[in-house]
Amino acid sequence: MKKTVLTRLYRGWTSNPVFVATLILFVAMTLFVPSFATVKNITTIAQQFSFTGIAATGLAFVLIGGGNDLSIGSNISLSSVAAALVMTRLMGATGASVLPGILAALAAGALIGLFNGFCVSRIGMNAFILTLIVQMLCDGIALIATDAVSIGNLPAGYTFIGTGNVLGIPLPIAIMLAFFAAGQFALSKTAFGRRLYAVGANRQAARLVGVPIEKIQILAFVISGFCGAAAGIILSARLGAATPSAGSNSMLEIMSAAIIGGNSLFGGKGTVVGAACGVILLSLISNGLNLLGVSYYATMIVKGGIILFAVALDYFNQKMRTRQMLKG
Amino acid sequence: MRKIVLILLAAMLTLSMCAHAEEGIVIGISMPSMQSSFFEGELYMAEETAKAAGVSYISVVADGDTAKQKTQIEDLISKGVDAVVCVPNDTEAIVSSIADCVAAGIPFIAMGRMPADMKDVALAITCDNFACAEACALAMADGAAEQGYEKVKVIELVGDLRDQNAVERTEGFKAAAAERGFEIVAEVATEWDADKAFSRLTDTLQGIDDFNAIYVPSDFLLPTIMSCLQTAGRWTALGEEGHVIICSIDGDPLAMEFITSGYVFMTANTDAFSFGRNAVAGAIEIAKGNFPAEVSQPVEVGDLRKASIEAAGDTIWGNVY
Repeated sequence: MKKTVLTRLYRGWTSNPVFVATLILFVAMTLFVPSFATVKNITTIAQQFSFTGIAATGLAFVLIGGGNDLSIGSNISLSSVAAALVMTRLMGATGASVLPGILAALAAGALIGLFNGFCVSRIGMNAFILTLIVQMLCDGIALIATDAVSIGNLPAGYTFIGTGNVLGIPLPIAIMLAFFAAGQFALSKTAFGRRLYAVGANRQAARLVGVPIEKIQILAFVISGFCGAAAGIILSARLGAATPSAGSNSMLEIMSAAIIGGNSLFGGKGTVVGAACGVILLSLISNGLNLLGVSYYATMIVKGGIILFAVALDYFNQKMRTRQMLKG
Repeated sequence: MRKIVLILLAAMLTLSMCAHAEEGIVIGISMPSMQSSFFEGELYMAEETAKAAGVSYISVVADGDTAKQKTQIEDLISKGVDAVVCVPNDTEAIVSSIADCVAAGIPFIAMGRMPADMKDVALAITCDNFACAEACALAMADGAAEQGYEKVKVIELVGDLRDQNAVERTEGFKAAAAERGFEIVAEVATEWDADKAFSRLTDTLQGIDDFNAIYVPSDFLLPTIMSCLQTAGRWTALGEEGHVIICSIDGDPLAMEFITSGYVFMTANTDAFSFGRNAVAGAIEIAKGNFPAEVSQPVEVGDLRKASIEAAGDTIWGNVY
């Protein structure tokens, strides 16, 4: 029994190289970077990647289903702006405005996801192009709605989401872990998850066995939109302000984390846990290089190199899978 | 293959790490981006000042990303710096980072751009944006008189309104322009982005040809202005037909070049070196426990035209950097 559990653990670790890489990096930083291994620094890092972690969770669903969502960064910005506008301009930034603000953000994100899903699955638009267009639309709407100015003076109840604790755990971390758990459960233990993998792996075969392709894809995009909105709430709560372009710069990081974590651009493969590890790995690298005083330009090169490797490996893996399918 | 590469990457990073304990005063310097010579000049002199004082520094650049700047400041705090010198990327969002610094007992020094809430700022090296805008308007009137224009018809470029400097520079110019009877024929929102400025100004110039001046809130936009005006056939020197009176703010090296060659009339010099020098010198004193009597310390604004540039020589940062 023990041997089986240990063997399974060993196989789990070695078949998921991002886990191994993250673990090595974490141990190395603990040993060699003096200011790294403190509770404060580690919780700070976790809080820093909380919003990208939540967004990467949602993006994993879309990638696994064979789609893509380049609008997720702009979704983060627009959703946070929606929350801020409702709270400050409609309801005077009172305590009672927090819940409506949060609901406005989540609704905005889910609607963006619904629009994306509908256009991709029902109309048949290319996900890459469509979500790129939606990214521009979201950016434009956010800038117009705010006159290109950040909205501050958010109510204390809202910023508590970004700065508060629950049972000693910072709220952004607790919320992120909840999203990881729920996301992984949905993917691995529900019929929806199984169907999503089927759609991503082989759309035609999934259709032949009766999987409702369009509904599954739409739901994946809605989940991505919802996660983007939640990420926007966390980010704006941490910043204490809703910035019309705050999330837009994070799109590449979110996408990279999901891909590094094993979520294939070609669909049918990946996990939320993998995306989580991808987020952690990229964050550890950023934090480590910052703590070591490595120059900004060198950091860009290191991260770009890692992302390039991940994308290239994903491409080669896909080629090998295709070859094996043709042989078999 | 993937497993090997990822493990190798982690191992490379492992080997590149070494214990790095800072001794003595360490100053954290957080810049929003390196998109302009002005920021480069500020950072250069900030670092030189730290070196000259024999203190260590850690510089980070946020690449225009507000969330990244917050992350970087948190990392500086984790690193245990003795003070943070910062040009905020977003003057509203930086307030939460100031709160983080205060909670960690680390003084926050604002350089150039002022946070929306100044109450916990230990030192602020400020720019009198209204004086800059007023100087530009005055110079524009002089330039128009020299060129023989009866009325100033100006295209106003506007910076990123998340930056209080941009807000003050546009408000200041509008007020000064109204006093002098200028006609603002168009406003172009640049969001402090050269690409956006280029496309929007190009579109504006296609629809408007009755203008004779351009107000530029930062010198880093001058190459964009040049490209657009060259396309429109209006990039001519003072005294030539169709010359556009261009007045700008910052005093960077490119502005010096353009002013000397007659294409730009004037720049309001806000000495980037003074910002960097004063901010870090102040940060070092504060780290030693010597807090300034006055939190807000403005940098002097100069009016730089062709004659004054030649006379000033190496005393202005744009001629030196």
